[in-house]
Amino acid sequence: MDLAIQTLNRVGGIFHASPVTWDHHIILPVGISFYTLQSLGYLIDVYRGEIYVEKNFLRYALFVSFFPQLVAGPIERSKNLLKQLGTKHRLTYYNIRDGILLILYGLFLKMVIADRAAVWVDEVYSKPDVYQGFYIIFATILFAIQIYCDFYGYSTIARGSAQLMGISLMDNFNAPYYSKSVKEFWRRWHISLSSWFRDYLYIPLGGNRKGTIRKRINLMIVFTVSGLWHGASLAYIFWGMLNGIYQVAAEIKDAGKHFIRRVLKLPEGKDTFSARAGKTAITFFLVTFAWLFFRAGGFHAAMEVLTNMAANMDGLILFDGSLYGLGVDRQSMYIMFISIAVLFAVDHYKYRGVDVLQKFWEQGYWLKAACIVGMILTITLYGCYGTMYDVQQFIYFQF
Amino acid sequence: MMNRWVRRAGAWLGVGLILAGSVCCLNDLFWQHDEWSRVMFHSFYSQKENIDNVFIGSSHVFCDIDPFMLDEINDENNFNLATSGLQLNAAYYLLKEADSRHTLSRAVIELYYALNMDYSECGINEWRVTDYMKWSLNKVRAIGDLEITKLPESLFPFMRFRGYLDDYEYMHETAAQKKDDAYRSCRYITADGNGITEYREKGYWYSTSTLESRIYKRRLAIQEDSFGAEAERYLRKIIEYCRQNGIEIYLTVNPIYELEVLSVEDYDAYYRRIDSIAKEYDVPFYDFNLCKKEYCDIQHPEYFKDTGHMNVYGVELFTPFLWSVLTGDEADNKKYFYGTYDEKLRSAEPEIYGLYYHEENGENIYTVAGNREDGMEYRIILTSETQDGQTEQRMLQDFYTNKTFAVPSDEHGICTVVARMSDDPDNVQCLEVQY
Repeated sequence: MDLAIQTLNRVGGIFHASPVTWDHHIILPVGISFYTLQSLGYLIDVYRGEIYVEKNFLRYALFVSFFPQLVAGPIERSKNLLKQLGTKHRLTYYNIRDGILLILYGLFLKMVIADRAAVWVDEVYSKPDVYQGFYIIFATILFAIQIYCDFYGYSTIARGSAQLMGISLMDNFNAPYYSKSVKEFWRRWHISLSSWFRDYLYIPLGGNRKGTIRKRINLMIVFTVSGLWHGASLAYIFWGMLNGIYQVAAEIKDAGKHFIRRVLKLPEGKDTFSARAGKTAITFFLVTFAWLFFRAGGFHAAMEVLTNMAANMDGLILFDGSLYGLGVDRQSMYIMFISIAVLFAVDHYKYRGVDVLQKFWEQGYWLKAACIVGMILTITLYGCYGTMYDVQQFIYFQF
Repeated sequence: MMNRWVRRAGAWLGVGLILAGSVCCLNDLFWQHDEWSRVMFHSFYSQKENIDNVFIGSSHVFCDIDPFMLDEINDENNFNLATSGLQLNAAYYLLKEADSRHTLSRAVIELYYALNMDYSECGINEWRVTDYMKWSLNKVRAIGDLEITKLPESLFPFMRFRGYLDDYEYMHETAAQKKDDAYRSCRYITADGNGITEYREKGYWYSTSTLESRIYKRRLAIQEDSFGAEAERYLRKIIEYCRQNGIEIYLTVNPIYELEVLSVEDYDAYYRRIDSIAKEYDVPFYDFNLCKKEYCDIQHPEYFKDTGHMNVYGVELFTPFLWSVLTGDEADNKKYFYGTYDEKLRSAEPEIYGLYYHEENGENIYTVAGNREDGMEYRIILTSETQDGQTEQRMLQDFYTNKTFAVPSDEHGICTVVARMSDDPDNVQCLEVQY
């Protein structure tokens, strides 16, 4: 509503019309954007005949408001969750064991990494005119990690809580920062939302069945809507569009490359380690750049951040200890780096298709015990909570 | 099948034991105990005789009341169940703890003003109670009453000291503290100001220090609605609990040095609020800051160890008087007290007690604490050292009625105040304080 009125007033301003005022604060129900999509998905599935009509209202209500994933997803499909809710569940050792481990890992991601990074990021982004150049670059990279750990942490806790009750929720993230293209990134990031948009928007719009131009337009529509879903602000819309542009541009580039190779009869490039690493690095850079608009919270604010990023590029701050003065001291920063390394190590196995949870339980007793105790102690000792910290809300609670 | 479950249970038990061992080690390394609370609770739980009278409150109880002296006076068992900064929420659970272990006759609840305003800093003060209470349903309820975010730190105290994770000196010091003989035998004795402080069992803090500095940083300014909603809720719960369990309850405020009372500016607002609650329940309430000089002449620096707490000399004077008031007839007791604090000030001879101050925009705003709102004139002289080592003297005013002045926060020196009544210029008082 705010965005609509804002836009209306801007357009009206051109014609010297008096501005429309809106002083009402609408109280939004918890998790509305998540369960709206979930309910919509169910309706479409029923319409398509892909799922039966749930005649038990309580079961349907439970499907819509299943507490672990109510607030920030994953946006479950009726074919997965509703069907599970219709079957009997027993409290099993394996479910409890897996559930506990998932919750611990989720807490580790949220409290040790995301909330620690948030302290630094918030400080820089609140004063971009003071912290310029590499401060902003470093903060933006940290934000990419923060938002991943924050959201992935929540999803993992949600999965763990559901697992305790014998309900299996989908894995919402699959090592997204190892992606070699933005297209792949979106197959691995917020999977439940991406696949929702694919199945209920992109494909109904024609997908890639109606020619190259239509496919690209469809892509742009999907990502613009995705941006709008995240927030009624130009910054989010631009963020969504930017991700769409990345994919359209990549397609054009690939088509161009393919055409040149065919004309010049050049061989296909080798898939070397450096080529793979380069692609991953470029993808990370592109995605992180788009996050800047997401974090800044407004288009003008993002422009201000960008302007300040270009100013005072003093690379020395990365090495002279300046980074430790912004609410995260040296020790805390090291803990964060080590934790990020653990995250990327786990993601590395995940990316290679290893079932990390299964693999973990196959290890020897002492290693498992050490990991579980180590994880609990790391969270209790290094988690950002309690008397010394401001508790950080989950970022995706706002969407 | 059975074997598998035993194996699994054993495996998780192993994890639990490793975790418990790690937590114990971390507690030993990081948890610096609140020594006073620890020894007080140790003394409380080792009381073999029934406790008849409990005095519940903050440091204003354990510094101001001598339970041994009371034992001699009333031939009963008296105990100061008091920890630093105790607020009424924790006081409620302390009262229940005492009542669950002893047959209490009287509960005296001390209500120091600064602790009953805002509970936004909840946690640390309650930990002084929950950390040392023995496990019981009452303790679980006390912990459950804390903010949800404080729960992990309540159960695992080492988590509160995470700021010292890379401070090896701190860890060494903490571990050494626990090997110390005094720690093991729950003794507590320390040099304090110009005297010594010693734990004397039964929750009594014996101190021989005397008030030296006559300058006081204001804790808060009391307003009409300053009494916190949470404080009031727990005060009502305490009164109702005592009523239901046949415990005689008394509300008191122990005397603090006049300088601090004056700093809060409208002390009567606080008195009125407590008094109205007390009247609502028909509970005796005695504010000893309103006490008449002729019955208890306590307002002298030599009776205090600091502006808020008495030393042993003050305690010797105050304890018998307190008991005589508590056991006296409520109507008769009125003769000991003024109706308002303002009335008390007006009734006394003109006097200045010191300077109180608060910070504002990089400056310290000092006020001369005297018992006259008007009619008094002040000469104020500041003596400080300049950057080149020279002594500089500035007279801010020469016998003028203004009693407030501002000095940059980083400026230090000696402030000399000479005060006199405008209608009696020969009767002057002089005060010299370091600011």
